[in-house]
Amino acid sequence: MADITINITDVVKSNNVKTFSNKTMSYKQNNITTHTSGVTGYQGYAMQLGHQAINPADSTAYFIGSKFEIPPNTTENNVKFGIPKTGTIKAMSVYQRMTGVAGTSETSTIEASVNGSLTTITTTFANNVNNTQTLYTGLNIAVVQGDLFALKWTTPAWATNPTGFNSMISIYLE
Amino acid sequence: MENIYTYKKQKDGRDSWVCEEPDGNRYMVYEDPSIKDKTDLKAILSSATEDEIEFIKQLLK
Repeated sequence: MADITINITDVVKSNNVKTFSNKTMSYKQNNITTHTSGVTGYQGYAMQLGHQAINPADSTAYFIGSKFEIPPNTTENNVKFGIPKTGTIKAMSVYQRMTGVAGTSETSTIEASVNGSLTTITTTFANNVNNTQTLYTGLNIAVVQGDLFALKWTTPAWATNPTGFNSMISIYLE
Repeated sequence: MENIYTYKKQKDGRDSWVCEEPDGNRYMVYEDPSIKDKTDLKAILSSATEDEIEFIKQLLK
């Protein structure tokens, strides 16, 4: 790393501050500590969503947000939360487990609700295998700081309903 | 208002009921809600005195 030289030639005078002109400060390399994060593309962040276990009913629209201490709820206002930083939803991971029994293979729809406006993330979410992770990538859902967000999960008419359904969800934004 | 229960036979043979709460929330229960009510009554009666049980018997006549 080269030595650093700073020329001070343009300091505006204000209350009790002297004006400097054509002064030079030099810093030797061995007096400088450089910090690097080692991370690139670090403007992204992730949101965590989850809920208490539920025995889900057929053909029902549930909302899932960051209200971890209640089951998925049919009222969005009970679980939605605010987007902390403007960005675009790029990916979502869902890890699910059933503390009771897995359901049959009928598929659900999961949508992103942004201020009540819905965008489909998947129509093929299934609850027939316990302890599984499902990844959804290639998403492109714009959100603005302060938007109110939740996931809408619309269940199918199962032959056998899953019981004790839990999901741990992470949503990545850039 | 009370919860509304609707019976559903699961494919694997279990009995189940959709429970719909007054606020619109829905979920499945796998114990007969009417039996549960009787269980609750039994629990109440188990702590009742003889006089209280006799009083209830008179009411049910």
